[in-house]
Amino acid sequence: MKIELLTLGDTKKPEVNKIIELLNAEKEKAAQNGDAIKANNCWRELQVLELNILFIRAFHNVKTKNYRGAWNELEQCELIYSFIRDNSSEEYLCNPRLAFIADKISKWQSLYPYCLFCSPGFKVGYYTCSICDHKIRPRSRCAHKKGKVYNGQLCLHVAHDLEMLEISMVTKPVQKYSVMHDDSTLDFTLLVRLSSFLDHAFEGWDLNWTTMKFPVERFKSVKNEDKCPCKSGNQFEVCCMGKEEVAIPHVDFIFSKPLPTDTEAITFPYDNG
Amino acid sequence: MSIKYIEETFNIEESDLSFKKLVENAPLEIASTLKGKSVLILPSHGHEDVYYAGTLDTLDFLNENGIYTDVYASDDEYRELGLHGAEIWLGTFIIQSVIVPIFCGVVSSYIYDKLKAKNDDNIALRFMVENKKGKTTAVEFKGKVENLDKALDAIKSFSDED
Repeated sequence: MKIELLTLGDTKKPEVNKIIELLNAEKEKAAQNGDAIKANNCWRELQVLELNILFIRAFHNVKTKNYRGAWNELEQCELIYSFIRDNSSEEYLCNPRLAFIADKISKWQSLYPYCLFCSPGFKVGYYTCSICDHKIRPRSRCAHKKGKVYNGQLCLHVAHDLEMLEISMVTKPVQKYSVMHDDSTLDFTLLVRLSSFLDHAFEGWDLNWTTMKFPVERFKSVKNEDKCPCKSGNQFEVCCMGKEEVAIPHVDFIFSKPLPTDTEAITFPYDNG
Repeated sequence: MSIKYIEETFNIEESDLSFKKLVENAPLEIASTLKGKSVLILPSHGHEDVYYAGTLDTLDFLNENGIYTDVYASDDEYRELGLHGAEIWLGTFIIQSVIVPIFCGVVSSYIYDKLKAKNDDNIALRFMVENKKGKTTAVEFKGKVENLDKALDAIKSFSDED
């Protein structure tokens, strides 16, 4: 059975559920028969299918301005891809669809304005293996390695006797979903701009981060005590306000399809401020 | 909104710790297994009994790559500390000077290949090198992965002093 997964509508087709059921049944059967290779292959195909569905959902959520939803789905994509990567050959990872998703996850994430997250600090009593329940100790391991697939099952370590110590604010979180911002106060222009030119999740695009200079007169909407648009972290007044030009972070979007001729070439973020 | 970024820490100091003292003071059930190890992973973060999350992965990686390493805790006492943020909290290590060149190569491989660290990731570690005369020098580094060579070069220089 073959299906085309491109749009959110495609992901909701009954055939998708049928394929998932079929792969799960095949995986169980292979695992029971001790055919680890087949069981692992079924696990991989299921993960790739889930990855595609999540990536399409994330794209749809960006398009419909549900940025937080898309952010959480992109994080799930990141995790699923890392498990696929650690359990696949390089040849398998060269699959164009898989390589496309792997390339785009972090690029989509880089367009978000989120910069503050909460992160728990805790003490772990001990871990057990999710496959055989073995208690993991410094001098006692089971046959399973964390992050590897055995007979169609992913090995993870389950933490026990957790003691919460603190909650911290961090800029690089372990759990990306722990965003501390109120989305209604943030500027998602970059996501709006990029997604407005894309018709579906798998259209070719790329980006290039650089800086671009603008005359200081164009920054009239920035107050003296505001943070400098150059992102130095200093106040505008003591940073770039006295200069003729201000160099601000700039991103170029590159598309594989030609854009309409009336497309605005550059969006300047301070004109309407 | 402003965020305070932590600046780099790079300290070198003498330490009175030694493999001999550690083995002498170790819990009875692990004292014999600690003898003959090239590297011991010690508790971190100001605790006497807690190791950073991922310590057992580091332990396995070092042993799989020919560096005989152990954790300075019995199986019953061992606890892990999961800390805030995606920083790499590698831990505190005491290293026999003779193994330092190989240790540096394996640790680099662990950080870049296994943990897939990027240059702008933050890392925190403390390496202590005991030379053949029993003198121990500690290097503490907290900063960007791209500047990690500072710490590795420093401990290599102590091993050259022998």
